[in-house]
Amino acid sequence: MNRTLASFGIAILMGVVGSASAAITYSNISVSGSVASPRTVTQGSNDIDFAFASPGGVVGDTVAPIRWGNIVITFDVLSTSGPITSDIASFLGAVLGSGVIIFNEVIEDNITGAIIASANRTINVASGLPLTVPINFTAPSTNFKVKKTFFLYAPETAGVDLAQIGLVEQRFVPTPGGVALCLAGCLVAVRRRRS
Amino acid sequence: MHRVLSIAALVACVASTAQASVFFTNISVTGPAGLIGTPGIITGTRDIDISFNGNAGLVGEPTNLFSPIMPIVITYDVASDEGPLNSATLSLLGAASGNGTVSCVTQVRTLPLPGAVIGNNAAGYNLDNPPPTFTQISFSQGAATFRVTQTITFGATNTAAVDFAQLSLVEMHFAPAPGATALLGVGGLLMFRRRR
Repeated sequence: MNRTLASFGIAILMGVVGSASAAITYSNISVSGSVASPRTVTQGSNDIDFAFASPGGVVGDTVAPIRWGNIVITFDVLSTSGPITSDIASFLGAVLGSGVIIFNEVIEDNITGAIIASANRTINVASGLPLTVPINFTAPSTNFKVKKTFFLYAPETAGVDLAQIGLVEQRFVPTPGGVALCLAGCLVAVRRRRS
Repeated sequence: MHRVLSIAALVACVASTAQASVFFTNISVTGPAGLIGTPGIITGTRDIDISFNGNAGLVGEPTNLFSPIMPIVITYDVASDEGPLNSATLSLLGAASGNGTVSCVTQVRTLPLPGAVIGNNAAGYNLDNPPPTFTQISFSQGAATFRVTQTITFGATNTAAVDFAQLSLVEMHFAPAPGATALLGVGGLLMFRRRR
């Protein structure tokens, strides 16, 4: 009995440790474009943030005569938390008057080369910010590349015209690999005890 | 014996997957100076990204540069150390408004030149068919060395609407030949057979 309990304990511990040490790592991070600086990049366990400070990420009246510009972001993602099946892209900023932000994203599996997700949005004063875009993958992947572009444009009018992106966040949603590992460990322990 | 062979196969497979690469050389981006600016070029293990910043890659109302305008032409040579490549995935990211259009014609030709044309593709976007645009280009035959030529044409005429065509990123990703995966499968089968 004690041995069974010990086996369960070890299996659970392995699952917890596996889940805790599993992570998403980001590499080959590239941020370019005419309004991509200054910026900061912050990496979390399941998310990555790109923050832009003026004059980065802004076009329009406040930084005139700069009325258009772009941002190009690419990075690789490697997951040891199991396959990722979706992500959530969030944008914080502001659009006023004629301001518009056109967003594109493509996610490409690094092994097969297949495009497994894509998204686009046009953000203007009617749609507003913040904006959250859930992006579902057509196939799970542990190794993929994210490519996203923003085009900002705020032509001059009599009103206040501005297009500004302050924060781009991308949160990846892994499958519950740690829990599966724990359950598998428990099942193995039970089977061994019975046999 | 089988076990040794299967382990060797697995090790070889993992090693080839880790080290195999696609190399890009003779990269060239030409076109009107105002349209190409200083393009950003980043090459990865199997992909190449070419980006345009600010006024570059932009035709239409913001820059008052309207079509007709000479296209951007991108060329580069590709060499694979993992055997013949059979396909590529093209992605175009940018923006289009009003009557703005971006079109990209891709041709893949074996080396040495003049070689044979093994891949052709036309892709693009506009307001009704917005970016991102992505497409797979299948080669008519596998090739380990070849030249890629891409001609990118911008269209935007001046109307009362907001008309522009903008291209931020052109990416080509070359998929590995399925040899490494097949080798892994063979190794797994050998181990399975040995255990049985």
